[in-house]
Amino acid sequence: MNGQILLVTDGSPSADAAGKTAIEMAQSMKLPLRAVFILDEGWRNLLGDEWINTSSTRMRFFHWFEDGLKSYAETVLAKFRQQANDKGIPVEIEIKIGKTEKVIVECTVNPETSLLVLPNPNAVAPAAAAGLRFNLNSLSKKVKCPIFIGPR
Amino acid sequence: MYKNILVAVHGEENEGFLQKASEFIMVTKPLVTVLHVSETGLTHYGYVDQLASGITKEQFINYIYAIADEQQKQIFNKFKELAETTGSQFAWKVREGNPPKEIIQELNTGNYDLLILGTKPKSPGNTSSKVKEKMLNELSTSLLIIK
Repeated sequence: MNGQILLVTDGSPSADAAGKTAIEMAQSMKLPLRAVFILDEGWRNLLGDEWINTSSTRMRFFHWFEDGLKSYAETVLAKFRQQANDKGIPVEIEIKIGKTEKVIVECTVNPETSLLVLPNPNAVAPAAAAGLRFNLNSLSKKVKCPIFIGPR
Repeated sequence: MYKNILVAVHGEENEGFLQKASEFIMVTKPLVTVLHVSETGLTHYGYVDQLASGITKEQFINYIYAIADEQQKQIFNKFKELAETTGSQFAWKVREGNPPKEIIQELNTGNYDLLILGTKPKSPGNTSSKVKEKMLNELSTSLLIIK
């Protein structure tokens, strides 16, 4: 196998378990490791209820919300980097914003990826839990490398 | 890492499936069980339902089962060859019924920590995507999809 091992994390227990596998695989196969947290741009289409019906209120809410999400993503990635570094594995971390599936596919293309590691999308409750959402059937048609899904 | 792996195969895996699976297996050196589910309960075949008489339909279904048997032999031989080249051992299991249900049942009876599935090339009637989605929803172990 050639190319990076790519972990797309959402900070869920399933992503934590998948992350451990990613580290072990990178260690045993001597492959570079990269971890990405995706902020889905779908939140930008949120119109809100009456309480955010003015443009300024809505923008303030979005900024507050994005700051919160970004801070959470940084914490999750920093924790993963620490786990990898403890095992002597260097890891490149990155926060990406966009459509989740599209970003995942793009990340697997450049650089070349030998294994894509994801959490189980059914591992967290919908809505407020903000877990990674993707359709495995659609994703597996677009991604060329093997896909590893963490336990539920 | 993974000590007890279940590889569920349908016989129409993409080219390179065995190679990629063996690379993964060589890293983890686990106990490998290969499961093939012969799909039963084949009652609906689209146009065949409309065009064929009862007897012809039964003959057609028997023909499908014969193909499944042949596939099973081919899969077994491929894994036997793989085991000989890699020096590993594998257990071979055959079940009959609905693939997702049978795979889940096998996962529940064995102490597996990873399920490996292949994908089918695009063609009419292929249902592997349904198996993947169903697995994802009900699975408690990790899942590796090899294309």
